Amino acid sequence: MNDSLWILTVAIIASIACALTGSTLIIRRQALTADAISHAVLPGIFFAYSISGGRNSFWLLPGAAAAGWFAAFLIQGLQSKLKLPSESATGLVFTAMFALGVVLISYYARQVDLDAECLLYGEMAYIPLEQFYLEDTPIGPKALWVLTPVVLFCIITLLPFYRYWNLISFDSIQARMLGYSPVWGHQWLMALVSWVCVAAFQAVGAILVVALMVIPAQTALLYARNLKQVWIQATLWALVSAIGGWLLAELLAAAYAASIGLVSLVALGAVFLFTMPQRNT
Amino acid sequence: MNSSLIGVAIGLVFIATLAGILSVPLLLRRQALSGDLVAHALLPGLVGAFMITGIKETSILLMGAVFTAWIALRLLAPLQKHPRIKSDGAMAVLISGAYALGVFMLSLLQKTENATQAGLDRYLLGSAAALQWQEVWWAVGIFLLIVGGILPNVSALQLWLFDPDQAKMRGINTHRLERGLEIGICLAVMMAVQFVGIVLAAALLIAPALIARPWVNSLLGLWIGAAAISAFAALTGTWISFQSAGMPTGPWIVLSLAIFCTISYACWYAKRIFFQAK
Repeated sequence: MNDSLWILTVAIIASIACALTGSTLIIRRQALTADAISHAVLPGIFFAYSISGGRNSFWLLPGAAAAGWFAAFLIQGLQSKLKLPSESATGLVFTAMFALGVVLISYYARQVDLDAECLLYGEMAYIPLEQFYLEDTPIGPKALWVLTPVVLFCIITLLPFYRYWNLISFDSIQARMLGYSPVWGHQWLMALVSWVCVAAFQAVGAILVVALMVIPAQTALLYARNLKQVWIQATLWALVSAIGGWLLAELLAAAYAASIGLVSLVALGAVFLFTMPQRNT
Repeated sequence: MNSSLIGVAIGLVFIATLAGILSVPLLLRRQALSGDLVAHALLPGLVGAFMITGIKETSILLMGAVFTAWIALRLLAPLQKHPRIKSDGAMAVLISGAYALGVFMLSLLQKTENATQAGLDRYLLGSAAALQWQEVWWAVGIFLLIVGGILPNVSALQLWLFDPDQAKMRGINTHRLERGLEIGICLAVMMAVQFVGIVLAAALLIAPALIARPWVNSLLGLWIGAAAISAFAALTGTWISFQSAGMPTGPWIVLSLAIFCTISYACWYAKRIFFQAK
């Protein structure tokens, strides 16, 4: 399989994982949490690197995901205990954690081979360079092997529990009365989002993870009638963006991740104009 | 004490104070993340201005940046007219979309001219150490411009922030106030981004008003408190980062703000519990 096809495969898998988690976030009005978590993983990544030493460590994923989950927990706490407005709480937590990450990285710059810019940009063109080896035989890029379990987990824990997610997202009081706890769903979703962010950040960069989570989901939400529709349509738009963006990047030799984000934005704009209700004059 | 430390401190105090003043209307209007949106939407403008003119002159790049940032800010309201777009979705879409556009344009540029890469990368995390006296004067000028714009309109602003309908009924031109606030935010973030970077510029427009909020009950008090606390955080951050070589200034300012915020709310919480127990 040639290099650019590997990139396309990784893009498709990443965009499916992002679309499923992102659409669940956006119907719960937590779209900005994706933005916050993707930045807040930085100190977690630093701690995982410095404890185990090395980019390929096993601890990277759980360490960073724990930091992301912690950020979500903190935002929730600031909102409910101190009654801060949600945007202020979100902005405060993620900038503080990102600043902490940058400070730690620059303080231990000699020991840790890591910089914050690589986290923010990401470069999909490097995906095929890092192969995963099974007894000295390359079996596909590492990013693929990191992302595949994530996407499987998203599918397994979201789609079969449609009724649960629907209930806790739209009517949490009813959910409680029926004996379903919205709290566990919320915490699980935060953990899932953190995991997707961390798994995808090396490949596509932190801020473009947010683009892949939020934009196809918002596009689907413009016209979908229920949660199942939002999931399916968001995944379709994510696929369209992944393939379209890949083609655009191949044609113009531009950055893959940014092209995918751009195509999804153009799709959102088109659907927006198409579904905007006409004003009664 | 060397002259570069003094220059950096003066520049950052003015930028942080300006951001602190602007954080108050953002908190009251529940638009705290506008600063983040503006910071991210500067990127396509920076790159676009360079693509069109081909000149790596800071003032031209920043004019392009302010232009796209202002457009992104103005897109928030029309997006939310769609019944299926809520405020958080519109914000998240615009932040990530503007950034994706910026990175896309940057990658096109890097393909043709490698030399410029370093110049534009500077804005991502900012660099306070590279601050020059010329930029300090710019910061002072923009500070005076915005404060001069606010002062004659304090009473109108006060009414508009707390009761927009009443302000409209009294015949106050609320559109003018809104445009003024938007332009003020764009200019302040543009200055902040050069020194603290795209990601962290938002913190300067969120934290100061939050820190002051539990302790004061008037708009003027909020303004004074937020301005004082941001100036103090700027000095603290600069001082800490100059203690050891290679320490970034911007992140330390943001961390100081976060620590002040923790202290402020911890005291407030303790006080509330104490008085309730009585």
